[in-house]
Amino acid sequence: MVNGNQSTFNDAIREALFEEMERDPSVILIGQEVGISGGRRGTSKGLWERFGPTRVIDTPLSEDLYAGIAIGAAEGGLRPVVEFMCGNFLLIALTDIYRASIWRAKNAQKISIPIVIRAIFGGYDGWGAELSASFVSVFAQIPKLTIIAPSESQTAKESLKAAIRLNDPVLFLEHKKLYPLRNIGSGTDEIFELGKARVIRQGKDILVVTYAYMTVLMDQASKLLEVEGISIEIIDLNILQPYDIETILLSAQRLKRVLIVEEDIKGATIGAGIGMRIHEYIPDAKIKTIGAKPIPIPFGSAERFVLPSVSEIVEAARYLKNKN
Amino acid sequence: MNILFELTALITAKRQKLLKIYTLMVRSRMLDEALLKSSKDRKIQSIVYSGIAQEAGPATIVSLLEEHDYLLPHYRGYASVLAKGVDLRTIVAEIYGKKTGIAEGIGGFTNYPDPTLRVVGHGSIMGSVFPSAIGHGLAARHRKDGSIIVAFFGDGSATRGTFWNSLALSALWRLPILWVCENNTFSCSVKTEQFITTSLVTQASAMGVKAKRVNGNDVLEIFSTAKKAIDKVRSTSQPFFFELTTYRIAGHNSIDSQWYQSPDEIQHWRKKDPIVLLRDKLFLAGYLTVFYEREIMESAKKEVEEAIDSAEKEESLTAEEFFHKYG
Repeated sequence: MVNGNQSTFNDAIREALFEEMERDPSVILIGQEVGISGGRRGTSKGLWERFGPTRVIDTPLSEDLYAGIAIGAAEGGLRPVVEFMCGNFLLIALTDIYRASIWRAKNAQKISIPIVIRAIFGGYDGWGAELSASFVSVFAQIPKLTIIAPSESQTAKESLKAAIRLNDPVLFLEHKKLYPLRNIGSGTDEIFELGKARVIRQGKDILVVTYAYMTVLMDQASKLLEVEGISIEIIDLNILQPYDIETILLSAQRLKRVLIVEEDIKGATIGAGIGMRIHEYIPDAKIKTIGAKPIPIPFGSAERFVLPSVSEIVEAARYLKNKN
Repeated sequence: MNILFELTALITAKRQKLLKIYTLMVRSRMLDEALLKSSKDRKIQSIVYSGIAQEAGPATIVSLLEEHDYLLPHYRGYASVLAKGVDLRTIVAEIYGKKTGIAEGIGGFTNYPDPTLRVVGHGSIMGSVFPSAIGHGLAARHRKDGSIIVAFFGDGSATRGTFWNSLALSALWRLPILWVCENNTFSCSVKTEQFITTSLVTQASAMGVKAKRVNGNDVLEIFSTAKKAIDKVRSTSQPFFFELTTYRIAGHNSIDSQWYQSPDEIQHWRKKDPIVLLRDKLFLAGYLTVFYEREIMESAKKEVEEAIDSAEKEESLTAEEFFHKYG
């Protein structure tokens, strides 16, 4: 296995799974093609050979059962990791994802539900509305569900390991476009802490709050803006629920101009919620949000009409910089 | 001489078991009727889901389980959780919304979770038991401690697609699950037969699970078939499906007027009361006397009355207590 720094996002997920399954025999992996095939993208390659069919379990197409199976398995003492091939398919399982999150309370806290639901989500691959839509904010309506969406491989590995060790349900969102990318983070030597957001770029003019694949767009946008003399600070949330408001406010207080960039449809999102909190604490902050348009994502390159673009981000940053 | 001794021991053991089942059914019935009354008298916020006349299946099957087996109970009735050892007072307190309830009064309808007794909580969406049972089956397989999983549900829930899917998975993954469907004829106000193309046992067999239909009101019939089935599930780690044919005497819940149920039909089934059926057989076999029967009835009555008296006086969670624990 390769050292995290050299790994792709895909490798990082596999390493995290391998290490946790090695460490704790109660961790099992359930999903489509995760076993013998090693996963569609090779994410679970080698796991079936190492841990066998009772711990790496291939399932038929039954997303409507996955989260319920995870609940029962967790109640019985296992720590299931359930894989969803596509983020959109999470909606098939939504009822039991909700139940998993409320289950501890409903059982008067007598039990814990240590499950991790992993989903390969997002667009920018031309697959259209039913296979690319982001939906992340939908899950913010589920109380007690931890939501993680890493933006690069090293953080992804540490986050997944931490998620597997948590005793409560985690929704772990892996953006498909990040899979082949190697560590593109700030390479900071900071010690990883799951509850903390990551300041991945220091800046003087505008704070950008973002997550998952949008950090890649931000990387491009911030370089273009630098040339224009606009200095961008970037916070990668990593953990979307509960998000790290302290780190956000620290930067927002300093910079007073905030751009929130998400792949979800602009409007009723986690980012909008963050914007509102910033406004409550820092009333003189200027806040702008970016998200997808509320149009079904067309198949193919036409998706660029709907999904957020680098140029859109650059324009919004210019607007914020010049706003009085 | 040895054979006689063994036979006596067997009969004694069976006698004790049957009396235990009888007592459980009586307690469940008393509790059920008392809570129905509490609901109709508006003494409680919650509505209740009566399992009157359906006690035979849950009381018998759960009595045949071992301590380390898991119970995923039906939302209807109380016999299964009482048989697993749940304290009756905590059921009453829960329904009365008090913090001494088994889920501190806030756990929702028909939800009596107790991990120490391996009684699993009940989800409000019917059919949530199906994938949960599969998950429990995986955990049992992992534990390798010979424990089995028993899941109870109604004929209405069994019209969900996830039912067939789950049956199939239990067969494919060789999970030690006993699927028990209490077919009480009704899906709320509609007869379930309108929704199924083949019988439940045929459905289960088609999904690869061995199945048997049994008279859900006859403890002795359930006793002999369930004992064999439980042993088989435990030793082979393969699932089994029981269809218990019975009838829902009460309404779907305590606010159901039962306008759609024919009084003649209800009367017909009242004559097949499982407690009366068992009692008569126990008298015949000499296992029960009039005196003993009265003792069981009065003890159950007292237990229920005291539980209700206590629950009425107990406190509910305060805002502080709630936020401290659940916030």
